[in-house]
Amino acid sequence: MDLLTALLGNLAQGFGVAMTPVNLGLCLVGCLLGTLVGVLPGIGPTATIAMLMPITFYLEPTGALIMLAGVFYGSQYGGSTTAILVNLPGESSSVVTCLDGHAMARQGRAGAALAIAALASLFAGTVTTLAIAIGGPAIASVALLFQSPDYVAVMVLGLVAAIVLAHGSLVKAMAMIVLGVFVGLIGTDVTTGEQRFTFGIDDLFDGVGFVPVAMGLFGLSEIMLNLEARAQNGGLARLRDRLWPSREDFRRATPATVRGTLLGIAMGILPGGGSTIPSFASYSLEKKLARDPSRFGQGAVEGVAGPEAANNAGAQAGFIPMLALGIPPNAIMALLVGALMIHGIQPGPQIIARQPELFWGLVVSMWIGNLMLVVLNLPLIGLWVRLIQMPYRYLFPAIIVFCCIGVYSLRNSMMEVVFMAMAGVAGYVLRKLGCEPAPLLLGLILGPMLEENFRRSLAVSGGDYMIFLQRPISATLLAAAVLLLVFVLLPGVRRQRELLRE
Amino acid sequence: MRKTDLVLGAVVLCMAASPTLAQGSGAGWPVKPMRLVMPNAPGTGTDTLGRIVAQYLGEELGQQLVVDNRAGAGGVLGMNIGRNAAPDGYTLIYSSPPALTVAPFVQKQQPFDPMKDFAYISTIGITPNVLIVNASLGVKSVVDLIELARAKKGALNMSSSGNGSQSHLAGALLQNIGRFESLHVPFKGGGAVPSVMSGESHWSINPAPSSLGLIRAGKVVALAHTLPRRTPLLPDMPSIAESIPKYNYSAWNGIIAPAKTPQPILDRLHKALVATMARAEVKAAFAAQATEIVVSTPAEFRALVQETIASNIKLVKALGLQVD
Repeated sequence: MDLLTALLGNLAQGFGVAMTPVNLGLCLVGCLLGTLVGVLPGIGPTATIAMLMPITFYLEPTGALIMLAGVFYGSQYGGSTTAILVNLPGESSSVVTCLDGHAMARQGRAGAALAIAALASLFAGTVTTLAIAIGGPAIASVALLFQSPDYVAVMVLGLVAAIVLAHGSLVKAMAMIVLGVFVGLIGTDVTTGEQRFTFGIDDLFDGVGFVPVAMGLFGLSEIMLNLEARAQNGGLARLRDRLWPSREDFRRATPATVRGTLLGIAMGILPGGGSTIPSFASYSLEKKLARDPSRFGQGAVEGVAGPEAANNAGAQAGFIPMLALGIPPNAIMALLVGALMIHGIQPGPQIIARQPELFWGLVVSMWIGNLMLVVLNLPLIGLWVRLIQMPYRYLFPAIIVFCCIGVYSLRNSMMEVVFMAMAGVAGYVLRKLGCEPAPLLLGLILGPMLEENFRRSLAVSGGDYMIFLQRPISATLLAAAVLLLVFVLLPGVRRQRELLRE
Repeated sequence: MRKTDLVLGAVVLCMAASPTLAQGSGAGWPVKPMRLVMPNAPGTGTDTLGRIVAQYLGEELGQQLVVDNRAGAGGVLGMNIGRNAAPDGYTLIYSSPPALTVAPFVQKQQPFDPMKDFAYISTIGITPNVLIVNASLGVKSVVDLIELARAKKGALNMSSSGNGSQSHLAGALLQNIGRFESLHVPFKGGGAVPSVMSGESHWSINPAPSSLGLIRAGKVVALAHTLPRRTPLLPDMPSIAESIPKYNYSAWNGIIAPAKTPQPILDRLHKALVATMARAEVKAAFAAQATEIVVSTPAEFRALVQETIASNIKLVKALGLQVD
């Protein structure tokens, strides 16, 4: 009872702060900018927030944070739009949305996919906001239980689960993961500082970025395949029936959304978690749980709802360690910490007690912002769908120009654009060979993290491999990975399962 | 209403790189927006300091000063872009020890010459690094830590934010002067401080802003900071030098320009930068980032860089970081 009264009191305080005209306006500005940044491929929230920081010198800290936060979660909404319509991930977290979202668009169900993505994001945003309000500090301390061996186990589980990402041959999927891990090896060795596969090129010292590779593999290769197919019609995706999802869509999407949200919160609070890995994880989970996994990649609505919920939940859950511990789990949160510190506010365990209006104001504003985003986005769906009916000769050059600008702005580097072009060609060849790009991308993300944590674990344990089995978290996760692997690899088990179903 | 005005004002200030403001600046410079090359990624501590300086230095000069993030290769990418830029006063470079005094000396071929390739304008501030230990270790002072580390013979781990980072070199210097050894556990990004909190590693030296919140909440224990003297920013904290004389690892920050930038422009930049750092808003913003404002003459700055290079090269060699 007491807890509930306290919570209601806190939320009331938060509404008081977030509903002032100035803060509502800032929230709207942030969400609008975020949507824009999300829709424009490659231009990410990190660069945008960095550029906006000087403006916040002149704002109240709460208003500043509300606006910058809006840019961040707004971009999660916008990112799915181009992923669904033109197979171009606007944000790295929307890569998975391409798989089934774009397939739906090709079947003329772009409107339904966009609506499901927006609604799943709203649900995830609401639940995550509540989770922050109720258990923020407690949840944050869970993140601290994770040490290097536990991260290793999480990544191993992730890589094993990634095999189910592919809807083609198992061998090809594994080959793609390994290829991704190899690409991830490029750069400076974290442990020794040695250069690997950099050929003395400065731009390779920090490795190959995820975003240019993702945009090349998905977006550019898609354009090449489309040009080759010489489709006669004017647009990419046609509108067949209504814009709104069907009852059947909702029935399939709802449980996926709930699972995606929980996954997103759990993984978003971990350092390095962010919103990309949860979206991959959610897709794998949905495919694993599906009665008919073959629908995935062919326009399964769960493959849109789950990952979209997961990336939004992951993005917002990142605020928990940032605010409650002062530990930014990703670059965007680090920027927000910097913005707060300019105002003399030190994020950390005392922030809720010392700056209640800031904390609760932000929490409530995130919920309001999510609502705004859906209200903004739903009417736009019709417009977006019409936009992609433009003839190829206008649409494709425009997309490529935006891609180049966006990718350049990541590190203000021409090399990123070159990487994207190379990835585009590679993506075209791979897809011609029937290899899926998604597992490659997962290998690229998880590989370097896996290696770093693996070697750190062994350094700390003095080379004793038992460290992975001694810690309860890592032991449990590794056991789960082994089970999953057995399940996937034993054809007998699979066949029996299929027999049982019939 | 006041708030709205402030917002509008801010938007106008930031969006309008209005050349009309530049009138009366004399000598025809600066007549267009300038850039500050930042060899670090957005969200890093130096990036935040750089954005504060860029905002107010831009106001001081009547031109917009845009922060241009060029992170990569330990800062070498950004330093090279700055070095090769036209020396016309429109490109400035933010400099701190890792990019200027460490990164060029760990590459196979030295990519640039810190002393010859740049014109020095002024330092802007010094950020203390803070030595933190895991709270359950029961260590209360620098001497305690050294004794415990010696007793455990290398079983204590030191986390850092990467090979050749300030956090690594500051810790290596402590081991060097304090004559003890700890296993080095490098992290990418910001993992060093959380790992001390969770107990995976035992101690670490990091820029003050990244650990102050946790120190104040008692989640990690701060033993001392790395400046050679006490600092008003951390009034209750002793300096490491009080326990180990000669210890000094200061992280200065400064603004430099390409080498051939005309002297009159450099003079004006120096004057404007000193005026910027004296502004109340800048003082408050730097204090919030736990950074002391320190300005210097170009000659003093140059000497400081030379000194830092000498001591860092010694450390880099001792650690075997030099790839040759």
